[in-house]
Order: sequence, then structure tokens, then C-alpha cells
Amino acid sequence: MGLELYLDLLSQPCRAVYIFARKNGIPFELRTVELLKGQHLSDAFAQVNPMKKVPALKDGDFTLTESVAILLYLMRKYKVPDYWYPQDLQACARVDEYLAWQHTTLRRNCLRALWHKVMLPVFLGEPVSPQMLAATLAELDETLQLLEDKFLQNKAFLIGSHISLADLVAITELMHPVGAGCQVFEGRPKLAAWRQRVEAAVGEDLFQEAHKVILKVKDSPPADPTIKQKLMPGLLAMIR
Amino acid sequence: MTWQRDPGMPVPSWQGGDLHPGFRERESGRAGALLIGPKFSGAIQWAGRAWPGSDSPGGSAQLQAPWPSKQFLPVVVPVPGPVPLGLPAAPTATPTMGLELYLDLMSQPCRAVYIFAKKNGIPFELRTVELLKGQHYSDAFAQVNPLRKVPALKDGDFTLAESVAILLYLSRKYKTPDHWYPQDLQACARVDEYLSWQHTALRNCCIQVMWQKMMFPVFLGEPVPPETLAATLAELDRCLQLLEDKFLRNQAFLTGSHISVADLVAITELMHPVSAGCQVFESRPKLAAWRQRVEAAVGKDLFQEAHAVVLKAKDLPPADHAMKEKLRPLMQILLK
Repeated sequence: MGLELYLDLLSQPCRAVYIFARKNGIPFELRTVELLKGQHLSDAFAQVNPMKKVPALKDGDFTLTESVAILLYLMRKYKVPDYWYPQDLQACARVDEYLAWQHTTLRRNCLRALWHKVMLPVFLGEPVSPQMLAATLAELDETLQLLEDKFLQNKAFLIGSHISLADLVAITELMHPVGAGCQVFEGRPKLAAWRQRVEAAVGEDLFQEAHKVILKVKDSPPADPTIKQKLMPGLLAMIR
Repeated sequence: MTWQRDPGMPVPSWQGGDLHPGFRERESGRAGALLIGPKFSGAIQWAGRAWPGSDSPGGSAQLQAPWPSKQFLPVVVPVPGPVPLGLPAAPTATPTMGLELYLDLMSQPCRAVYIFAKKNGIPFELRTVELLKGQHYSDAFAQVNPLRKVPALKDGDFTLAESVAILLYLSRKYKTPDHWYPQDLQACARVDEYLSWQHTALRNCCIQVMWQKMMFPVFLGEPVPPETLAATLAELDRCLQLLEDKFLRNQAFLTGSHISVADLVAITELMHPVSAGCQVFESRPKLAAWRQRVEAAVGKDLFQEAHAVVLKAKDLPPADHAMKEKLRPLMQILLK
């Protein structure tokens, strides 16, 4: 059994792993774990990842969780082009810096934006107060400003003149609020231009393919009560 | 390389003394930051020379302490400090522009960076940024880290934030022993996995516990609803269980048979609730045994030194009103 990637393209970190593996021609078997059907809560999946989260990787007997760890593992094992995670000490540190920073900032804000704006009300039938939504979107806005000012600045990509893991992780995050109907790039020409460059570097077809699910998520039919009950506790913890 | 304190040398404030180690003045126009504690807004030490009796920072200083100094202690006696830990006392007037680490040992990630650098004999200048005095909000520090957080690193013109990035940078630049961040593909992946997981799991938990159990009531005089604290402690318990079951398992260290940066990051986190009086290790023999091993691997003296500040946090005098206001945004986040 070769490399298996347990993914749901609904999830931002899964999209980053998917794009990275496909772009670099890494052979893998895609094991889809549908979060909205609660498949990540199954006993079978717990064998792969007892933390019940995606993405997860299985390479023979070796299992690995956490998208950043998975991306770095794939990068090293399959010896991808240097720009993804440069050898240069300082350039590499910049990628590490972004990958560390984003966990509690952009990642969190993008997740909350999607769930507060669309998923809670539409999919789960749980209304979200306008104040809560406004606060979430304001936080997202602040983080986007930080992304522009501290990370992107006047560079072509987040850490320099080439795409890296940082850009992949960032762009897949930002597509979350885009999927929720948020105006992430409109009114932010710098970010919009960066997005174009990232899409071009990844390849438009691959980018579209990876984002098909998230871009249709607001059309999801409401969850049935059993599913809702199953998903709620984990969800509330996730978007805290 | 072990740094021994010269008995004649002043004790840094964070070890109970009056001096902030590492306060250096930069000439205006140079890149760099002037970090002054409130006790020293009047007297500045420059590489061993004191400016006796001055009431204001020297003419070329770039920063005033952003709050009125509470207690002015003019340092007239020429003392060999502030001595960068890990380096001999600078004998000349020109401050070195080597590696600078901006740290507050109150902060868990700062302790991890501090221990790592000291353990590996990495020469650095310690720039103390006292969070409880709001020093991280100063304009000068924003030059070093616009995210206004510690730890931060400055290596010549290169600045870097985020403890994980800093640890990896140091391990690569100073070619530290392999076990800290192994070359082996799978071993390395395990370290990456822990370093990634902990951001939104153990890290978060430990901060919440520290603040809700101790800092709010003691330092800020703000009571925390018992239900909130109970929920936070339950979450910590859950995290500790995951730490044991998913990461430590039956291994000597978190990612295998040797200490790595993962253990360093984890242990410094756990000392946060310990310093708040939580029984983290008492009912968890596996974790307790792991802690012993980590302390032994790091070296007991260095471990004690790195944790001296946080273990005395419960004895901090209450914050004044100005400080409370400064820390209010942080409070709102920590009570969520």
C-alpha cells in the first residue's frame, strides 16, 4: 500500500496538502473523509487518526497528522523544488514563521468566518447573531491587514519572489471566507494580485479543482438532525 | 558551555534583583531598539558605563519608557552589566551586533528559546521585554517585531518572530545536535506534528489556566467565574491526556528516545499551570517521569533558571490601574 492521503477538500489544510501533492506529481491514493457526513468520527478513521481530524497521511505503517507536518514530510520525501521550502536559512525561517503564525490567526478567522456566515445558519440551522458575525468579520479584516503588511508587503509572494508552502497554506485559508461569500480580495488589490500569482504558479485547473467543494458549500442542503447532533460538539470546539 | 554568575555581578530583576539584563542603548540612526524598564528610565547602562544621575534617557536614545517610572534607581556605580548571558562582559564602548533574543521568561515560548540557546551554547544578547509592564507595546519593540510579541530574534538585520521558527533557525544556524530536530524523515515529522498541534491545543490551554487561575485574581484583581475556571481546567486535563496518549505513549520523550525541541516546547508550556498551582504531574506518573527526564537532559540548573520568573509569578504585586488598562485587550482574549 503506497501513500494514502485522507482528505476532505472542504477543509483548508486538506486543500493545501492536495494541491501540493498534485502539483509535485506525488503519487497517492485519495481517501475522502466527508466531514459533513461525520465520517471523521468513524471508528475506521480513528485507526488512521485517533484525533479524528483531516488531513491525515498514511505511508505504509507510518501515520501522520497536522497539515504543516504533512507538507514538510512530503516536501522532504519527494524532493520537490527548493522554492517550496528553501534551503536558505533566512528564507526557510520566513516560511516557518508564517506557518507558525497562521494557526491561531488567519486559520482561526477564516474558519469562523465560514461557519458564522454560512455553515451554522444554513447547514446546521443555528442562527448567529449579527454582532457575532460582525465581530468575526472584523477580526478577519484585521488579520488580512496583517497578512498584507507584515508578510506580503511589496513582494510577489509571501516570503519572496517565489511561491512557497506559506502561500499555499494562506491561499487555501482565504478561499474559506470566499466560499462563504466574503469580499476577501475585492478592495484589497495587493492581495488580489498575489492571489492571481499563486493561482498561476499552482495552475488554474488544479486550483479550481481543489476549490470546487468549498465554492459550492453555501448550497449544501441542511443537515439532518442525527448528523447535526453528531457534529455539533466537535464543531463548537473547533470554532471557539 | 555553562555560564556562571560572577558573585559580584548584579542580579537581573527577573531573578529578584534590580537590574534588567540586556538593556543597551543604540545610537540614533542605527537599527535597533532601546528597551528600558521603568526603573531605568533615568539611568541607562551602556556596555559597562553608567550615566550617573541623568534624569532622562541619553540624548541619542530612541525611546522613552512609555509609562511613568515607578521607582527610579540611578545606577551610578560602574558595573560590568548588563552582561549578555553567554558572552563575557563587553569590554569596549561599541555594543556588539550579534544575535539578540527578545524574551520575557514569563512567557512559555520564550523559555523554550532561552533553554535551547543556553543549552547549546549559542552566544546571544538577552533583551528582556517585560510583558506585565506592557513593554511589548512600545514603538521601539515594534521595530523588532511588528506583531508585538515575544519571543523575537534579531540577527544583524534579520528579524524573526514565532518561537517555532526561531528554534528551527537556531538549530540550523548553529548546527545543534541532531536529536533536537532530527534529519530522519519520520522522526522529524513527529517533531513537526507536535510543534503544529500544540499551537491550538496545549499552548492555548496553559495560557488560559495561568491567567484564569492566577493572573486575573492575583495580579489584576479581577475575579474569574468558577464555571469558567472549571471548564478551562477540564480542557487542560483533556490536553494532558492527549499529550500522554497520542504523543508520549511509552516513549522516553515525546517523539522518541531522545529529547527534541518538541519536549522543550511542551515542558515550558506545562510549567505555566504548575506555576499557577495546578497539580499537573502529581496524578500523572507517566508525565512526571517524562518531566524528570527532560529536566535531566536540559540540566537542572538551566531548567530552574529559566523557570525562576514564572514560578514566582504568584508573588507579584498587584498591577496598578495604568497597567491594567494597558493589559485590558489581552484580558478580553484570555477570558473568552
